[in-house]
Amino acid sequence: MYKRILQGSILILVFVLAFSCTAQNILDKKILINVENVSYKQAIKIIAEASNVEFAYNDDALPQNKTITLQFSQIRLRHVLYYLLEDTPLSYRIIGDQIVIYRPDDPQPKKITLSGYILDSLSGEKIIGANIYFVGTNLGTTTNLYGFYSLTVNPGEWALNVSYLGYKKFQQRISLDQDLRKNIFLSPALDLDEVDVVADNYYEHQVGVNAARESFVSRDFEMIPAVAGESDIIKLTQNLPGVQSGTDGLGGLHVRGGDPGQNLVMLDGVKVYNPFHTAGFFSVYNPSVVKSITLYKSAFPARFSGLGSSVLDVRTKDGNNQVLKAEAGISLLALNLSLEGPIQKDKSSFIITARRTYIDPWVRAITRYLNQRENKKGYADYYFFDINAKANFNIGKNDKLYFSWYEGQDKFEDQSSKESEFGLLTLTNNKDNYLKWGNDIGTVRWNHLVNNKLFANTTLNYSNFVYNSLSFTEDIQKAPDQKPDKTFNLGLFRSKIQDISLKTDFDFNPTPAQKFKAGFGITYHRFQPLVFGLDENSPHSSDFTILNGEVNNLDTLIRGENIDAIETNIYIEDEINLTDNILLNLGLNTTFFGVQGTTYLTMQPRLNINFIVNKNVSLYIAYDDLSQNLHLLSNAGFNLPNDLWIPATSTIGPLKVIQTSLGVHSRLGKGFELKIEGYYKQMENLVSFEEGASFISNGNFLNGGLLDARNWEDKISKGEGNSKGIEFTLKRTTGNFRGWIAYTYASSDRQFDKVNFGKIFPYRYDRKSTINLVGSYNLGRNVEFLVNFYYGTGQPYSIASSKYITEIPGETGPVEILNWPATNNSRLDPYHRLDLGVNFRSKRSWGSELFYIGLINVYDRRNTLYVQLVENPDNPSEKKFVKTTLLPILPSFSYKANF
Amino acid sequence: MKYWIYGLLLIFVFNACETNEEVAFPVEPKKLVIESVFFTNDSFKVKVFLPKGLGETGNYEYRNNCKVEIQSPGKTFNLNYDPNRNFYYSASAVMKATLYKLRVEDPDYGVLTSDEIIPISPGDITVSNQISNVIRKDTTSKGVLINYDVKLDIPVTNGISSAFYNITLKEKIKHNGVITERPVEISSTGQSSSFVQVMYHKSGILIDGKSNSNGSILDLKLTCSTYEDSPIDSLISVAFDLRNVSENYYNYYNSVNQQILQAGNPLESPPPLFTNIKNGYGIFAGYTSNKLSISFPKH
Repeated sequence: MYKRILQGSILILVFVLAFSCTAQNILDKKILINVENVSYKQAIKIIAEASNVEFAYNDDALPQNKTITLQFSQIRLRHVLYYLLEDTPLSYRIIGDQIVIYRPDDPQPKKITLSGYILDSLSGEKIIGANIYFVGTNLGTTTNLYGFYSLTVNPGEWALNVSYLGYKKFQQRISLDQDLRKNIFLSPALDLDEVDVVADNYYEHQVGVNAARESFVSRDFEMIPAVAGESDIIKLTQNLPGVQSGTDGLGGLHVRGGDPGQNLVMLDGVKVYNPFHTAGFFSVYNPSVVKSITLYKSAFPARFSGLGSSVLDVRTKDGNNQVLKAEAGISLLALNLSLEGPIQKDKSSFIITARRTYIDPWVRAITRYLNQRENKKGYADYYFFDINAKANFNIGKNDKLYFSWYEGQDKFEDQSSKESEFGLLTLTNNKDNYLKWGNDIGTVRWNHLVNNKLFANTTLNYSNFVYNSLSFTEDIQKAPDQKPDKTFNLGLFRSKIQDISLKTDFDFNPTPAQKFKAGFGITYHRFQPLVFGLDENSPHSSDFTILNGEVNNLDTLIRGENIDAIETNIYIEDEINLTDNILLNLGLNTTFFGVQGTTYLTMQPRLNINFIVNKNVSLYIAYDDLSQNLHLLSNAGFNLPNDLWIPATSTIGPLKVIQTSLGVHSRLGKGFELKIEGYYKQMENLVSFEEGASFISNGNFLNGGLLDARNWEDKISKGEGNSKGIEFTLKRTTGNFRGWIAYTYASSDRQFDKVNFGKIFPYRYDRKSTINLVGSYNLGRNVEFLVNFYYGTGQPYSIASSKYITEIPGETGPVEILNWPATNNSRLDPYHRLDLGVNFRSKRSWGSELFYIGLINVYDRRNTLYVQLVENPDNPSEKKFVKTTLLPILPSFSYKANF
Repeated sequence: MKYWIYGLLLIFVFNACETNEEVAFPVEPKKLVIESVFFTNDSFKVKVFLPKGLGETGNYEYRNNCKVEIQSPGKTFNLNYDPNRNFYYSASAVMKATLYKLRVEDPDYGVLTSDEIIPISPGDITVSNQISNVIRKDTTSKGVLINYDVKLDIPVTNGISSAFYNITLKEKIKHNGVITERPVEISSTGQSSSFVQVMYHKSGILIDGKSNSNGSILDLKLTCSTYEDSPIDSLISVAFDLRNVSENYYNYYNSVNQQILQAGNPLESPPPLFTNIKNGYGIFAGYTSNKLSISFPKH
């Protein structure tokens, strides 16, 4: 199959190459020229105007005391150049769309490097991905993740142009005769009319270059109606073609048939192990601090490693280095505060944001009331919070230091106590359930400009992910004048991962036609899985106490097992303009992973070829060889935080994924773009629990403190998977209406030795067809109408088809069993939901405000979360299927003020 | 009043979002179920029945007008229907280590077939001649709890398909002066590896020797417990039914076992039910059996 895809790709490559060669050569342009006895410099200037072609030359090289006469009508430019230069020692060549005049016997003119940062003029915030180019040429580049650019060209006079969506275009003629460090400030467009639709040669040249990825910036974050008014950046990506999630957003990200653990979800370049609050409803990313997000589904640059399906690269703001700014917001769920400002104007800044849910008093009050109705004491409680803090400092001209910290946590507690009397006996039942999970991430980053062409970034980071689940039940039986008789059951599940990593990345831009990246890094992982159970018959059964969901003397009861691993990584990546019409990005990522005496060396070649068919159409082919040394074992398939991260070991190798994709990207005019992309993906070394196995089932959880987490390898099965699909997206990024409509046809399946008896079955999140509509329409007067519609054919699930009675060895009587013929043998109803919202923006003397009001699930569609088989209470042999749904029609609102 | 306000707010946020609705049963053509588990020196017994739909009352309906035959090399058994016991049976006894082919022809549901080889006898299992660690705990309010260990040595060679076992245990106790036999409750096997499964009723284990990664003899220390809410006089003996079973037998009963264990958890997919019947469901499987008993030490 792969050979066929590659053969097909090569045929297309040949076709496109042939097509691109037919593009009109600028030398064949016919011009009219009539000059008499003018200097060579003047003549070149007139030819440039007549032909609309840029010329580059060194004044000193031109004949100084000589004039020329050129009088031609409708003559090709190549002939004009012949007559112009025939009596001179000069020659010419074409670089991009530019004609360079030079002396062949001269040494190559010294190249000049223009470099610097592109920044927001109001906040000083560095802009990622801004276009910097010379008008009329295809000489240009984009800023890197730290807003830095570097362009090396011939000396001469150039028309510099800098553009970025949402900002006014920057234009300036500059004369380059020596290396120049130039920071450029872009002014935010205050309304849509001020946003330039970029249209020049460089922009045309860029068509399709980044077509395999999707980026969003802060102005996009509010274009989706938000559940409870809590806007969420990951919801944007979940509405892209090829990206699935479970019902109402539960279930995480499933990109092109991959598991949630195959996504490399990052915060400023650091992996985030659990990117969700509230079991998947909301992401851990506070939109107030996020600068941009980029989702890669294919054409993965070699700098990314440790993924199998996607990269979600989230970058945060540096903080306003001009003036102190604050933001305060409230939604139906949470309060949000943000403060940013200069530490030293123009040189250093900080940003700090904090978000916390405030519904816990109400949850406590309501659940206490509900418990009272059942004669119970106690309540449930839930909250989450996240804090982001970041500071950056300019240390001299060439160095910047960044310090950042993220902390987020979810906490759920449900405690109840019920007392009842039977005659003289008093029975008390106490229950406590605690769930707590969260990430801590600390980063120190050093940006260093080695020279004008070479940028280095060194990052030291620490990451800590902890999930703790504790359940405790206790029954106390007390007779008068007797000692109470107690039984209890304690279960504890913990998954903890600590990472420390150090890495350095280099960006080297020797010429506009070549961008070179390389880097290396080392990460130390420590995994601490723990499953622990106690009851009254266990040894040390009275030697513990519970405080705030923790067994405070756990270390004396059980010694946890640590699994340490070292991962080193080196990559090299080169982006080359092979010709005016062919752009190539090729790279190699090599990873060395050592764990428990086993080592894995993986080489991951990557290739992405873009063919510029014409100014509006490009094709691209990508080959991605991906490997991931960490696996995510899912208990429930819902991407709950109790899913367990485990390393590759001697029996379970790293996940291997090969993906081939082919796409076309076309500009249709008026801001519309069409993308079509097809892919085929093969996955090896997938892991799954064996049929019926998990860490906390089969009674293994209890009885004397079994630590099954040490034996997890015996409970899992290795497998394979395939995914294929085709995605269509019609998108508009400018104008009053922005948004996209997308259609995906896809399929994904799995095969494990010890699941479904080794037979292939559909992946749990395999939806054959999906439609996504995301739109934001500017109604004027600072009012935006928002719409989000999703339709997806039903997810697979397992369902019984019949029942009968059998006798089981060791059982004294017959037992009713249900016949579940195969894994995921049926499909749920289609999922669809319409959300609407309106943003009202207003400017005040003290700043600005945004009021959002929306309606989630407008037509109250009851989408199925899961289906459960229940017995008819009047006749237990009769069964029925009951579906559980989650979100009904819900109003939502939020208010945000910036001052 | 404040509860009304809180309630309304929560309705608007999350708390009242979960609802339950009945959904239609999946439409799937019905297939017959065959159950035939046989062992050496016994006659063949084959049950054929139509399972009921999930929404229907009852569980199955016997099929009594089928043509049932079993072939072994050089011999064909034609089975007759016994209306009193509701199964088809053969007059001849089953021989060990032989390939058997089952063919069932039903006038309404077509032909169902299956193949099976009976495994060799489990002569190598040894049981320690002593039951150890007997701990008796008597409490006035809760009766008597007795824990004890039984040690088993089982050869489970990697890659040999015959290395599947099903072991069930029964204990003989004297209670209020009366001797009774009842299933043992196994609380631990001393192994957390998945190739040793405690069956859901806790009086038996299933062993998949193919998954034993080290391929050596498996030492099992079965920790058992017995409980009675009134005084027990004494434990007398433990009886073992040691079955060397076929892979089909293991797969079928393991899938039944897993399904019962996972029943009621809506977040986990239940395991599918194994079958080796073509054009139907159920099991056609054989085993060989050894039975023995060991006495309890004084306690």
